[in-house]
Amino acid sequence: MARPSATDRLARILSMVPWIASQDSPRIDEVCARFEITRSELVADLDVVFVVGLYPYTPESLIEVILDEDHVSIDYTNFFERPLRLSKDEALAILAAGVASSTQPGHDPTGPLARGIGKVAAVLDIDLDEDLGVVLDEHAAATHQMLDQAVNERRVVHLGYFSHARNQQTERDVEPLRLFSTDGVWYLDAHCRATDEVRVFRLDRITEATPTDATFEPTPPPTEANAFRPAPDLPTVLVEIAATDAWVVDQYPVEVVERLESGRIRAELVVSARPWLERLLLQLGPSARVIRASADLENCGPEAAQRLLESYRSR
Amino acid sequence: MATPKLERLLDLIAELLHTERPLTAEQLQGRIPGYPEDWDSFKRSFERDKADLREMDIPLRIETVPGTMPAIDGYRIDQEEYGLPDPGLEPDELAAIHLAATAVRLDGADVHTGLRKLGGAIGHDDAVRGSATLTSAPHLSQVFEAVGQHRQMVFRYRDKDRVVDPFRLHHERGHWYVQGHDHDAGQARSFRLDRVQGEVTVGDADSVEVVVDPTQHPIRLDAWAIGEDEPVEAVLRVRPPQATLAARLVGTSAAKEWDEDGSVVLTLPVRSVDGFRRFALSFLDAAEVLGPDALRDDIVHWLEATAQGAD
Repeated sequence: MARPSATDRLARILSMVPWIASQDSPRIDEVCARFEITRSELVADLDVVFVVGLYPYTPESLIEVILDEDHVSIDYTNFFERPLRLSKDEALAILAAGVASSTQPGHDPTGPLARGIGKVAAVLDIDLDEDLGVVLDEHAAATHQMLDQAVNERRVVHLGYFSHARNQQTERDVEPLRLFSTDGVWYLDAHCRATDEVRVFRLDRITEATPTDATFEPTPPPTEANAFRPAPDLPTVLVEIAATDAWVVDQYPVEVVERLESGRIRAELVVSARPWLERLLLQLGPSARVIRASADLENCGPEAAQRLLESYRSR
Repeated sequence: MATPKLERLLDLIAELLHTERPLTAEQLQGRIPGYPEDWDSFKRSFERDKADLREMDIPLRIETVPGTMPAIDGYRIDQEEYGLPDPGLEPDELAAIHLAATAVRLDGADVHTGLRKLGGAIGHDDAVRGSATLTSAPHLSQVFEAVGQHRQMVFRYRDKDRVVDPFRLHHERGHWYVQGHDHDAGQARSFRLDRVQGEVTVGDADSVEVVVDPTQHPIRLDAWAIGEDEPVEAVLRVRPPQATLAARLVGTSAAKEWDEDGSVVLTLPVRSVDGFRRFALSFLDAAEVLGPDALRDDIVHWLEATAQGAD
């Protein structure tokens, strides 16, 4: 472990000194557990505190530290009576965790967590009911936790996965390599045993994840670069859309965008699979126009519309 | 050499907290052990120390020393501004906060420093290993402060400059949103923080002009629920395997009924016909609009027009 920097130790001391001073000679092992340090780290910190004081550093202006075998006491800390205020980041991390946990089933609205974060919010002048909301997706949290554990244990996982692009449900055994998030979406890098490829799976499209009894030897980790770049041999289509459908350009990777004088937009899109383009063209509807596409994709919008229409008419 | 620096910073903070009258750089050089005697070396060292204090969010004030002419800058730390008021946490309350902060982590945030300020880590955290991780977002803590302290915000969003009086920060489905009264639109709007373009400028505390009752503006994330159309309850059937995904997508914002074949029938409070149509079509052949008739007709007409090719 890297040696803590002076400011890391400073931050710890500024919190620890007021706490010890507020107690009646607490036990050293309790201080160490609370502040997550070893006894020797505590002694080293107190060695510094011992010589801190006010100009001109007469003995009575120094902090008094008394350390015996089991207990520690600190006195004359009139300038370090309270810990430093929580920073914005610290306050948010604590309150967001508290609020998120409060939305979980079984939460007791009068229990210690509710009372505790209520008190913290009160000193920060935050109205928890109004100012902050955090909704946890239970399924996502459970899947995330299970996969996180599987990554650490190198455990093979049986995955049910819905491919959005192919509009297809698949089942496979994977070796989970790492979890990461981009733009608010969590992904799993995993080595697929059937195809012997490293694939990226979106957690919110995992329909089922079950740990198996098998473990695996790690293969080299995937490079970031190949995780998202579409395969170079995928077809592209040139689509013209209405100005009001500009969300397409925000939402999908587009190769080239051109704004026409009429306000309409021409965008070249990479087609990962036919169902993906069908979905997009159905959502865009009659105002979208395919300008250029390979012969098999040229008519894919009207064809998909016809297919859905027939199923509506048959019922 | 870490120890002398640590000691110097502690002495500096003690001195600045203790003094009521701002101390000049020269006075600090004379009072704090460990500063170089050479003025230029001292200045460099002092600048680094000031930067360290600021990085730790220690509220270092620069004020004119009273009675100096020409005015001389002095430094001090206001005890009120520095100290965390005692929240009076009971041990079980602190343990519960510790557990929650271990179970739900905000990506990239350090909860240890914050917990230590509240009295340290107590209770057991071995049982829980990061069971949920909230994504972070740009400007997050700045916006949180703006919401809590009723500060007006100015930022660019969807290529427009916005003046917003914020009233809620919300995390759901992987994104952080700020809700506020948008002055240009004249009504409450939600903004996704990762879509804010460039910087956020935050005004003084209590600089909001329009005070909104947050209970009148529940957060709406679904395109079909945001709009000005006549409210209507749409009934949509989604077949498996997409049924599970659809049910998860709508979360608690729709009623769900499961059929024996694994299909789910969703009842959605629709305020945008466009948004609903887009949602229904995202499931391709797996979804069917069951009612009301007006919405079913809308989808059929839309598909007819699309089937005929571009107009």
